[in-house]
Amino acid sequence: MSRELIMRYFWAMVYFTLGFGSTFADNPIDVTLTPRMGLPAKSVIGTKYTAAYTFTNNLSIPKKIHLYPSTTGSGFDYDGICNNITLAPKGKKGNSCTTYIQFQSSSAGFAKFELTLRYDKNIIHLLPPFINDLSTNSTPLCALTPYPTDYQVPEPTFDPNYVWSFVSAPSLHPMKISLLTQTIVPKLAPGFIFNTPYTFSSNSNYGQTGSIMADNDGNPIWFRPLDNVSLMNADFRVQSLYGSPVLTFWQGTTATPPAYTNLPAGASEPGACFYILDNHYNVIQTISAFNGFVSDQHEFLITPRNTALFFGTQVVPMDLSSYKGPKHGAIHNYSIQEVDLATNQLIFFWDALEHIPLSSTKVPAATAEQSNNVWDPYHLNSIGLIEGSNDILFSSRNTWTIYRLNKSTGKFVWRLVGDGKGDFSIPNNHAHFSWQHDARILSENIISMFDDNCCENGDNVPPGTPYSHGLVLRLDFTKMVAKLQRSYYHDPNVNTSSQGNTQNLNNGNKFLGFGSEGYFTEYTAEGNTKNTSSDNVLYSAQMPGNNMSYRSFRNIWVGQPDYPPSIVVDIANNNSITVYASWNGATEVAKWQVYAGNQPTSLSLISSAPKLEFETAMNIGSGSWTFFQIKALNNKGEVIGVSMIVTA
Amino acid sequence: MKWNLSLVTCIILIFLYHQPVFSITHSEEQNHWFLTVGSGIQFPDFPANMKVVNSYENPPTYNLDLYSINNSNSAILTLVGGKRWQNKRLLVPSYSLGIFWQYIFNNKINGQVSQYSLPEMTNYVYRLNINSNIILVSGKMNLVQYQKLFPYIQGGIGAAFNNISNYEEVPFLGIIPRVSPNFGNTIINKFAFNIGAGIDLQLSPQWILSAGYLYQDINSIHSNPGQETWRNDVLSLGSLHCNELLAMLTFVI
Repeated sequence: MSRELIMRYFWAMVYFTLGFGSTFADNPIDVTLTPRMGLPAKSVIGTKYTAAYTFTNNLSIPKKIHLYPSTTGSGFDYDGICNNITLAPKGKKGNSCTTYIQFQSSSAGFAKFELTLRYDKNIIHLLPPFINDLSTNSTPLCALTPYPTDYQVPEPTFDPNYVWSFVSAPSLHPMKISLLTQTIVPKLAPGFIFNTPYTFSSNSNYGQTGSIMADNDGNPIWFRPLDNVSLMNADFRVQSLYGSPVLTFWQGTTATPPAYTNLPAGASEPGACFYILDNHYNVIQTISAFNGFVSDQHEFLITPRNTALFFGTQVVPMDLSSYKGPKHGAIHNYSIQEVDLATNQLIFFWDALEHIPLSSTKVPAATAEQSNNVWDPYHLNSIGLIEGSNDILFSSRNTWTIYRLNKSTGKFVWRLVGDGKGDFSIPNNHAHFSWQHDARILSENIISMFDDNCCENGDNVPPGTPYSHGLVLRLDFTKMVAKLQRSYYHDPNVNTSSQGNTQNLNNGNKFLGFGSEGYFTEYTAEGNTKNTSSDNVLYSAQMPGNNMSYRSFRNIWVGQPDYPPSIVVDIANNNSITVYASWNGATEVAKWQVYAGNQPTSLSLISSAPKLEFETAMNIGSGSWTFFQIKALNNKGEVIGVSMIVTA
Repeated sequence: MKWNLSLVTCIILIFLYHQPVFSITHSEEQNHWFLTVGSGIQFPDFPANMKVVNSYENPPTYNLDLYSINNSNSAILTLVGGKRWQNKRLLVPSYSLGIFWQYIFNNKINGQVSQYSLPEMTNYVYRLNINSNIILVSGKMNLVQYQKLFPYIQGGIGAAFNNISNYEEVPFLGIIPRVSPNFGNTIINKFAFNIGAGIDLQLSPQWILSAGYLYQDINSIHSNPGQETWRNDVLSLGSLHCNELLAMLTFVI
């Protein structure tokens, strides 16, 4: 038998012994890390991450533990609560202790955190050391600052009648909504309501801009605020990427007068981008338009092939005098772009200026004088997939046209023009549409959209302008006729001058966002008419003041934040203790439990309460407790989240 | 007790040498230098385990980590050189005095570490190397002669240079590894002695083949202190005794 073979057998026996022997092996002090891999190796600037070590005594004698942190760089917040703690013997209350490490970076760089455990003479360097290197391959954030302006945009209003404030989440101030109509909940489609509140730059926004997910009563479920009122989100919804649900939204500055007149109203200012978040609310990818185009807010659509379709915009200098516009003018051009999300490679590019004649626009070129001589002839605002086809459907607001485009050839398959002057005639006036948004093919010959019917100039709604509504048309490809199938009007009727969407829900209901009017409404499939606008309205709500959202959605979502629940303990003058609990984005919390004690390792259940709103306040009476902690339970009574241990 | 035994042996040898029944005339006694080379196997008598204090605040037996010992036997190499006297007497036909050197090859001790003396916390496998060099003043006396066979007894006193090194430990699966105590390497010299018996086979006037047993005491073996929190602790095998079986070849010059 060769020496090499002998050594192989020897090491095999060693490892076998190590594995077999492990059945008898038990750590004197067990250490668990949550989440399992701790803090991420690459983090996103500004995002807070949390990891927790739990130390459990497996000895039948009390054991004092010592913890020694070591930090390189900055951004770490370590609570040190388990240092020099004596853990009770195994099986006794107080035999474990949890310590938290939070990390939030403010700039690119390298940071490292190591924790060393010592008990008796045993020294253990806990793994992994948290190493964060933002210098390479980190998920880049984008659109973190608004497009500059000299105009003093009004600061947001935090009137408590219209804006939430939370003791346990003091940085969050989302808007409150007014509930106008709510039917029996089982008739509503399941899911939360998604909005991206903002307002024109001449108005003060109620609450912070950002992305908000709320329940039917308007209670926030998850809110991601932006720290500048000229920075906003759009098209916030749930989509599917690699088979998993993700959150997507656009982020940037929307050009609205008076602050931004360099571009046509509603255009996206340079510096914008798209975000994709996972169900832990971690940013997993950001995408920007290619070829020098600006990432446009109107659509970010993830396809079943895990690509993303979106618009890019670009200012193209052009003499507009032949169109009765400024000589030294420009076109606000649009492109349709498709990116492979796995490789971030551009795989499709289509230029509107090369395919859509400028003569088809309904917007006079002279309007360019209001926006730095930039003319907005197209204003593309939606891209839809057509199942079983490589064609796409897109909507052009300013040509009143919905196009079916063959991506392979780059040519139109057909054009549906709102006044019936396209490839389809529209004999019924009620089926006419204009300034439309959000065109979707529901089946081969059924199209839905949000028919704004308004306006060339949003500040001027001509008398007799038809009311805005959701619209479903049926296309007859034999006679090339488009006919009215369904309509969905708001009660009371409104004219939406911009934005809006019609979402087709799985149970047949329709969920409409009324854009600039700030309403969002759910209907049964049957819909209604202008004169029966109160019929079949299952739900209707309104944003406060001049707040609006580009689109409103109802989506099913399960959020599991990586960060722990938030807790604040307040002791009133009469020593009455109130514990405030919240967990931004956690969708499965059914109940809160409050634990308190005089040692962080010895906390007892004091109180519990159902979770009904974003924040739950629990008065636990008077007590001499020093340390407090909350636990979140789901509807099975399982603990799904534990907060840090805090003192009052 | 150890060196008393060897002293008694020497005294007995000297007494016997001066007894009339064993005396011969100088003209009948021949003396020659000799060189013996031998090898064999050593069976060390290790304790069941070693103990290291993990904390002075823990109650017994929690205050001790137990290091079990699974030892293997060692090979040995022996060299003896000196003067040999032989004669034609029936009793004590020959005796020799010389320098005895023995090298005990690396004995790789291994075992398991049970923290806090708890079987359920047998969490590490450890390894340790031990070897020794033994130098003794050694005497050997053949008792009688039967044809070509000469039974003998032998004994020696001197020093053992005991080397302990290369401590390493590996955690079992699922165990969060501690910083190794890393007990230090050391060479310790201690008083040593041996006593044994065997039988010589006179192959020719110059060549003698021997087979024998040796009981050897090489005194205490312990490591240097460990590192960091273990700097006041050593791994100690205590006083080490060995049983050896040897085969030797002597060349009488």
